Amino acid sequence: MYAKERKRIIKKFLAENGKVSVGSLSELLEVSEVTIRRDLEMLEDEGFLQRTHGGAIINETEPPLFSAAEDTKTLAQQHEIADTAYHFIADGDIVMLMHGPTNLAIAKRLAKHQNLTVLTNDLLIALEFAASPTNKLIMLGGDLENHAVYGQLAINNLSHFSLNHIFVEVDGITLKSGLTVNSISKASLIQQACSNANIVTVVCLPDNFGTDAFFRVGPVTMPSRILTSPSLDDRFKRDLFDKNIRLYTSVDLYEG
Amino acid sequence: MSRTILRLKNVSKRIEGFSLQNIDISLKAGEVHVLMGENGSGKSLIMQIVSGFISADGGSIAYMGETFKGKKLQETLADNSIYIRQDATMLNMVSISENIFFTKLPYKSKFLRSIDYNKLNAMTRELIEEFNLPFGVFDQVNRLGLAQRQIAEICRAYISDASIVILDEPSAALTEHEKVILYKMIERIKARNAGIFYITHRLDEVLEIGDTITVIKDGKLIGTKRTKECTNRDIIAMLSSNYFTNRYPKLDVELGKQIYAISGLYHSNKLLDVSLELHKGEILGITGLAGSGRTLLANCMFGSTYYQRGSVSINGKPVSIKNAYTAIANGIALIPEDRLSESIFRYLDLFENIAFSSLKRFKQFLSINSNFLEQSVFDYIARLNIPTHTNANILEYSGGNQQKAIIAKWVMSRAKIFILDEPTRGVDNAAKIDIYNSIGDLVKKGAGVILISSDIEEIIGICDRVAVLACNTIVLNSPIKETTKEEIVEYSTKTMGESNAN
Repeated sequence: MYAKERKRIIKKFLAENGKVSVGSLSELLEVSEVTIRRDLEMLEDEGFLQRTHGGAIINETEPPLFSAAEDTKTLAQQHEIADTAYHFIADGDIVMLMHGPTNLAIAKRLAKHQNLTVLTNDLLIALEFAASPTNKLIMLGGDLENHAVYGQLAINNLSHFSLNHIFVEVDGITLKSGLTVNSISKASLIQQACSNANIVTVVCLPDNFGTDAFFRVGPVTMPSRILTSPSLDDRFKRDLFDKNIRLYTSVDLYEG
Repeated sequence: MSRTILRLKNVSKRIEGFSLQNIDISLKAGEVHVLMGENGSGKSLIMQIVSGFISADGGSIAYMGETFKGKKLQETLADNSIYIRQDATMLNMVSISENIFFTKLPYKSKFLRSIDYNKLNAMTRELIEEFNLPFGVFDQVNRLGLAQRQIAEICRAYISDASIVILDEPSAALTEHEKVILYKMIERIKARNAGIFYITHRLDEVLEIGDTITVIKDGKLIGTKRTKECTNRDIIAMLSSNYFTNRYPKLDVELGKQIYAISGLYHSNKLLDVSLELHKGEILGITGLAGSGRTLLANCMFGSTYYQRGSVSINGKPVSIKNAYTAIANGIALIPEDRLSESIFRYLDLFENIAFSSLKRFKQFLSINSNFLEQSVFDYIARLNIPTHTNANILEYSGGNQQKAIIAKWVMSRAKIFILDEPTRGVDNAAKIDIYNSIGDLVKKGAGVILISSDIEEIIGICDRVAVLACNTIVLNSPIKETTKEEIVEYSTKTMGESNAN
């Protein structure tokens, strides 16, 4: 009857501790060990965990190169953000994804769409779509820096495209300095790309609100919307609402 | 040129979560100054300052040309004003005449404080005959209806000597006949050279009785105009100006099949022939003025009030929603307008309030699986970003957090059709963001949402469709993309006469 809720609690427990035992879960949820084993089996099929003798560990099959997030809390936030971003895009859209760990999570989710044309400067994002036969990938050219391309070459490259959507991941947001990133080449590429796009979505993890990186991309009113996690401090929610900015917090509440 | 009774200049006031800024407003002798603006725009706060009930933080206030300050100002204003509020504040157990003349009771002997009832009754009878009032001298207040009380309240303003008369939506509960009495009294109050601040949401009244109109929005003045120089259109334009619809986090969700429909819903002359339908993934906005039957409709849909005629279907199958129990069993949830008295269990804590509607699912044999229940509830609390203080009573939480807890309660119960009656009224902007995003999550996962709100920008910002209630029925039902704020304002202020003419 409440398998969905049980699964959610098991996932949460795993995200916090990295491993669980069948016995402790059975005690916590007051159901038999057989039921817990069945739940773990289902979660293993979903790719969330790996079963071990008498328990399970969280699935971390991805090599460190592909997973920029160190902790499970950030992973969970990125997962929620990606889920909301999926709903911003319709099949057939032309989308650009700028370099960034949260954008990588979004890329994984967007790859489930059909007939997208995806433009990116990030090698890891490109790999996600390289394996997706239903979507078209265009890779920018330029100088390679941290698994992504930048520089004048990349900027020139961009002038060939007109985009429906762009997802930009920034390193800091404050009302005073606006949107900031930690390299000048990144800032100038983002500025150029945003001027080619109809709808600009700025992605930022809640912990980066209120911090300033060194290079300014634009004012906080520049994007069409800002996408983050529900744990964002109330102060920023209030300020952005007052500034007439559309703020999506990717709440994951309902189980349908 | 008539004399200026009151002049507010640059007045500001900050209260929790709201502020008034640069309010310039004046009141002349013998004029009706109409104040319009959405609920929560600051009209009542200005009137509280004008009546000396609270003090302003900044700016200057002059009464009869003389600027007063501090305590003296509040006393002067309190002595020279009368504030007639919407919720009639009468003494229930005494007669109508004592209530009306409460501040002007005739005494046989001042010293013994014995009231001269013969004189009092004669005074009241005179008043009743003069205006043909709908009650008798000896009627007790607790036997009177809302409209009669409202009329009696206005009598208090009429017999007072106050030079500043404040009427807060005096006509909301009145019939056409009673309005005639109201307007007659207003003429007489004007004739004794008092000024009237008149708060209303009805457009037709503005041009009928107003001399000046001021529109307020978000604690700021939009503009002041002489009514002689404006038309209905000008007022609608003022009411619709400066609006923000970009800040609402709306998700574009593909609409699915019809999951809920009502047709020909009728309830004792307050709702006539109301028909609506809701699809999977849809947010349907319902708006209308206070008293238009919004909340009654919500209660009928939830079964807490039984609709007398009409049919309801869920997923295409006809159902009879006789009571709230059948509504819940059919996956309908209601978040009522009045949070404190209708949706919160005051004696339960946050945790218990959230768990309340889902206990059945956590039943294990004869008891409740409390470990599991606890884990689930805390999961919802974390997801909605509600701060958890140990042992805090639900009443100690802010309005926004209380509202989020109520949303969590229904989400946890796995309802499919959510009826939200003014979910963002009285909650701060941060909680609004959480509520809008939660609504987005509901529809993206296949629920249907009916959002009842008097905030038209909110409706335009997050709904797919809007239905406007006026004249006891739906006068406009349109996709958001095909309508404008002006059109919604115009339809919601429609009155019976107009709709019959159309």
